[in-house]
Amino acid sequence: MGKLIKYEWRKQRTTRVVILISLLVGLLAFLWGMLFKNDVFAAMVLLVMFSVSLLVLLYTGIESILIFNRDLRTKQSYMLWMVPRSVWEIVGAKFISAILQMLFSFAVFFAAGCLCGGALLYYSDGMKSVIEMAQIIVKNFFEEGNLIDILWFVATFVIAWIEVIMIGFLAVILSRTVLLHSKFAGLFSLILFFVINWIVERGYSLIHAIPLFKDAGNLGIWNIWDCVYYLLISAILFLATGWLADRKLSV
Amino acid sequence: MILECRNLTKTYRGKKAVADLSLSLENGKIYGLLGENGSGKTTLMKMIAGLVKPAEGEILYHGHPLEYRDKAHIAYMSTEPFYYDYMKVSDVGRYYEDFFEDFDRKYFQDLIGKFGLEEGMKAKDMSTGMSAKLKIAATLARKSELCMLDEPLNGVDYKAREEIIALILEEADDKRTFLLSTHLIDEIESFVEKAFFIKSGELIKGMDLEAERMASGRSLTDVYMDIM
Repeated sequence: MGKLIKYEWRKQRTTRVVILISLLVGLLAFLWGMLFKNDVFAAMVLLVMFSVSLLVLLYTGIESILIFNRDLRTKQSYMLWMVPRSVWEIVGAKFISAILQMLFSFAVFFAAGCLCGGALLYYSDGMKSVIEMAQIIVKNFFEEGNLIDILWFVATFVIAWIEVIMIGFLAVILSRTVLLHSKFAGLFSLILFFVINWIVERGYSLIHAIPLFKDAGNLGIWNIWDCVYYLLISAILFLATGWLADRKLSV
Repeated sequence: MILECRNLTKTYRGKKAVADLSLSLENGKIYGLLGENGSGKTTLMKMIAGLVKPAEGEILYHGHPLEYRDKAHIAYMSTEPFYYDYMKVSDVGRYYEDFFEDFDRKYFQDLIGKFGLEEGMKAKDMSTGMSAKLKIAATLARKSELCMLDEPLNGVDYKAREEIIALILEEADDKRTFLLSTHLIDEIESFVEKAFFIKSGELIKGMDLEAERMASGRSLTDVYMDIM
């Protein structure tokens, strides 16, 4: 599966390059603001970078869905489906690649955020304040256990977004199999995407109506059952996508 | 017998592209798949390549139902270019090497040199002729048991056409089976051993060329004109 992931990963290289260049421009702009004591400008750059990081996370996921659609709609589909690999490996490689792409985007923006935060402290109060802040972070996050909560919160967000991407994959495969002969396959798959999303969110609401699940929330920012629920739904969506591709897909 | 198709049917928007088609291929032979545009040749090849699922019927490879593992032994060259946009000639070689154990990288490099292609050329920027040569080189560099070439002589100049035919003959032995679809009947008549005539998705006739020549003296072109 590694080789499949390698080629899937390659398909989004242009996006990664654009992300890295944008990030570099952002960092340079931030540095310029710091060097010339333009705090407002530097703060604005930070705000923009934070907003863009969320958009990038969303976009890379959506791009994975668009690539999946292209891989089924064009002759390039032969490249993927002529190889002696099972449908499960191919679809699995696509899922994993989409997840890796999102994690990559998240990681580079997180690193950039840390870099900017560190630079901000250094230029305002010197190296001593950077060390102090690092100690505060270590104390709060590691010693008092808040880090675990933060990580769970981030994990829940990422898993929930992965589940949305998987709904997108299922909608695409539906449009290329059972809806293939419909004139409005694209529109139907888009509607299906929202319908499945709505059903999943209804399920989420129902689970949260049960006190046992609701009360399991930690600090109000994450709940283990949210992760379990989204992982379960993701697994079901993966199975449905793979099954449809295995039984019905012609490219 | 290497491959057997039993009562294959494939329908697109209510129209049968392949209708109740049965045929079998033996080891080490060169077959021609002949028919007009839209007769179902490509759909049949794509079903054998595992790209298209039959609506009815089954395909047996060495006696067992065709499965994804069999793609390791079946090479298929489609009539249209299908490489990823970013790919250069060298990337195509690397891709085939990564996924097909029967791929001979050295032979691929020899072939692209012979065809006047360079490793750094981008597949999507190639002319029709160059693209056809790249597809041929990649497909023939696989030492697959069954090699299916869909319109391999389309869009290539006379010299390249002769080179491609020579390559197919060079590669054909008692272990490898070739299935070629083409409109250029004259070009393949000299080396194809058996021909299948397909019309409106149905197999009209399967013909042993040598036996037909001996029996009636008719050429492949004569038979084609009679049938189609």
